[in-house]
Amino acid sequence: MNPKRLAQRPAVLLAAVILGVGLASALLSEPELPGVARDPMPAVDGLTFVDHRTADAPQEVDLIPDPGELLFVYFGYLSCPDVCPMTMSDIAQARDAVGPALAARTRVAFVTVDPQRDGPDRLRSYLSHFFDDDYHALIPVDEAALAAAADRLGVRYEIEAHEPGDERYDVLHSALTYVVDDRGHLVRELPFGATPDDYARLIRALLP
Amino acid sequence: MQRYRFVASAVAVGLLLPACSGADGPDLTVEGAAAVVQQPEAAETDEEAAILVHHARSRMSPSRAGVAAVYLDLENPTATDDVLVAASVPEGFAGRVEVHETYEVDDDSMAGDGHMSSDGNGHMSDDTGMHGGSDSDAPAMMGMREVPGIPVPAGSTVELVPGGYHIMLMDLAEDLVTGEEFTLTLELEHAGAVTVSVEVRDHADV
Ligand SMILES: [Cu+2]
Repeated sequence: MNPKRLAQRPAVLLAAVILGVGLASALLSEPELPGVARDPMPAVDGLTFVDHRTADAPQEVDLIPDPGELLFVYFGYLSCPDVCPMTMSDIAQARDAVGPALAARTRVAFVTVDPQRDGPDRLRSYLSHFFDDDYHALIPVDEAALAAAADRLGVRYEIEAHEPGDERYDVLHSALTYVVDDRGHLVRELPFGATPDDYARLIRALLP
Repeated sequence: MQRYRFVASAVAVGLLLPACSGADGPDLTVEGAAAVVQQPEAAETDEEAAILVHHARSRMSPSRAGVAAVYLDLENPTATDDVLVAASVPEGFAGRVEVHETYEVDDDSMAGDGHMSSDGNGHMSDDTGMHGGSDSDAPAMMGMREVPGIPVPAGSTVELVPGGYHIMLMDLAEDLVTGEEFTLTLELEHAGAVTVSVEVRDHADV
């Protein structure tokens, strides 16, 4: 089956499409923006996950936002008490800072690298704390799907070896935030420790 | 270049902040280690081996994550270096409490330490669920580990902040709910036990 686009919305505004296409070039010429842009920018098409945002209605999605929108993709895990909630909080604060109009065009897709422990209910509960119901709770279809996304975007993760059924193990992960535009390009990546102001400046620059 | 917050953990060494130590605020003195001090501002053991604890706070823990991090400032106004070596919470509150640091994994030091290394192609190499090679431009991985202690040098304030040191609560019996408080006892090498009240805060206020 064909993956659905993230955040199905029927209205496609031509103006938004044009704005979106102009994004990448504006980015590369803006050295003051936080984070880095790769050259060439990787494309995220073909990377699919299951979005568990709506209980009992999981939906296969890709990582491409609707026209005129940005997607902040983060690979993390729920048993992470410091790095992951800090990043989610920083992005949530940035969405507050830019105001509702821009926030509505900026969504977070949280991909768990620890599907053994991070089920749909817990993912929803965790993300709704930061983003109300405005997020994507992504669980990889299988290990290969996660590996494919990690390869494409440069994500690294490592689950400590553990006995089956043992719920106590460490997870290492690269904690970057990947910013994807409406053409499905990874236009920017921000390192762990980027501030709410960094995220807010990026949103304003990318969504004029 | 941009300013990033992940610098190191102990930031404010050398900062003496009398304003925060009870000079203006309520001067809360605890007799012995068992008493619980209602923060907001300061907790203190006794005149001799005083370590002042400020802003003891925890991020609420959503969705039965079972874990939470406590952050606080440790002020050592004495002339004796001290070390935070352990912490505890009342029985039944959490299964384990450890002094932790968030750190960046040094790939060079990973070989042979029990972690799997990459097959060079970034693919799963065994059942550890390892992914991603360590090519030169690959991002570092972040992890968390127990530390033997957090030094609090004489006359300094050490801040436990997100991205640096934290006190890690594991196997929490219940989610931590914003607005609640709980008791945390810190063990310092010289000052001994210091018990404070930790405020559970919303994510944006940590
Ligand atoms: Cu920890």
